[in-house]
Amino acid sequence: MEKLYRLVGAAGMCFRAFGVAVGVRVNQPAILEMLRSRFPPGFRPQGVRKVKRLYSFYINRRERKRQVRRFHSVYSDHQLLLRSENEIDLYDEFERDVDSFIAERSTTRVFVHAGVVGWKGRAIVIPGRSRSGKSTLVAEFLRAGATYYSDEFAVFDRKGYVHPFSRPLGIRVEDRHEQTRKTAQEFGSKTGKKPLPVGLVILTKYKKSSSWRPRKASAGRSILKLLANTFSARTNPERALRILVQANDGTHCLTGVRGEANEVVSTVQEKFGSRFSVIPKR
Amino acid sequence: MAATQKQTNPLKPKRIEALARELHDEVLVYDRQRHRVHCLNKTAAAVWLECNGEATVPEIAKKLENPMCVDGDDVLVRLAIAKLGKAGLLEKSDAAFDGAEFLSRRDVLKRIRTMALVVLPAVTTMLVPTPAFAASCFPLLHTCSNNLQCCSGHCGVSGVSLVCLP
Repeated sequence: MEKLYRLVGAAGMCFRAFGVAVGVRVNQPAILEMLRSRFPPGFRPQGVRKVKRLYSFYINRRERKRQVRRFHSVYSDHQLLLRSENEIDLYDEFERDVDSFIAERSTTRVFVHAGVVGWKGRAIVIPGRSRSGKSTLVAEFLRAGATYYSDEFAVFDRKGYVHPFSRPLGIRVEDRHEQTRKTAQEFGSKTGKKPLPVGLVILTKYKKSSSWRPRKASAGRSILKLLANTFSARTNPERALRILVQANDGTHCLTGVRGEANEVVSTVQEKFGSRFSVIPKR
Repeated sequence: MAATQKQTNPLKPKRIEALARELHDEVLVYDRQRHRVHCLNKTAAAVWLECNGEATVPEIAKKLENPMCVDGDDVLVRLAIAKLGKAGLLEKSDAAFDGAEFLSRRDVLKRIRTMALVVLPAVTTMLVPTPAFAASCFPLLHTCSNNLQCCSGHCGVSGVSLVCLP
């Protein structure tokens, strides 16, 4: 750790996001400004204090030599997170890791891996694993006039309301592996700011050549699926369960395999076009 | 021999210690030891809540006679106990709950032709992921440092770099 400190002790800063304090230090002060764009949404810079995790960036600016590879590296505490010749890879990995860390350790919010849009004053939550088609569906909702909240996390507060976590959408181009980043404005939409109650949970997964025939799912199934994508479910199941039960109170849930995203959006427009009816408590 | 043992030592199912949360018609149960979450429908939930380790199967059936309209027949309770046992929601101290003594869903359907399907006990189980599995993953050919970072679950050497491989 001391050796690492000698390498990257040129500049640093601390910030707090969703109740978690994180530190970053770099060997090139110039990259600190660039890194700020990769910090979690809503972060607040803080003075030097005890942090839960410390990221260290070592950017190799030595002169290029023939037959000598120039590696950059990023460490999470004392562990090597990534070593790459491409600087951007480091920032991507930092963004992914810091988001996951905050999602797991947040004491103020419950993070679920899901896409979220605002629709008629309520949130539509689409939980699912990576590559299940969340971002494509979110993008389609944005084209249809929904407000952007997140394509990565549904952030629930104690009352079960969903807060925005609005990084640009990561859209994977078909038959290619890399993601392209697009803002909500590029889809003619805007980013939501107010926390919303959940109106609809869509449990779906993209399957080529399928058609969307949704079925209603019970609240229990909906919570089960949300819990299966919750970061702190293992560490604090009681809190996660309490908040998700509260969030699902009076919401609708649709389930089924989907083909093209516009089919799902059409269904939502037909069923909930004007407003969301709230299922009364029994 | 087994039948005699059953008569002398009747089965008293006991539910495991778990975190439970009641919804409208269902109960969610979180098993802290195995990190599994179960969704029990009305029938399964009613039986599970009665499994206190003191009541026998006929006694549970009798207690639930009115709410579940089973006319004193313990067939539904036995099916529910088999399902709960299979899901690991009952302590298996004195007997296995998924043995031949319990009826299959098909047998139950034969016996309760008139009963609506909705009363059949159902248990849905899901494994709660570790935070690393809940997180987003890297696509193929992205630089990586361990298997958990890749969607394919395989971070391997390509040329001189570590990248996500199929």
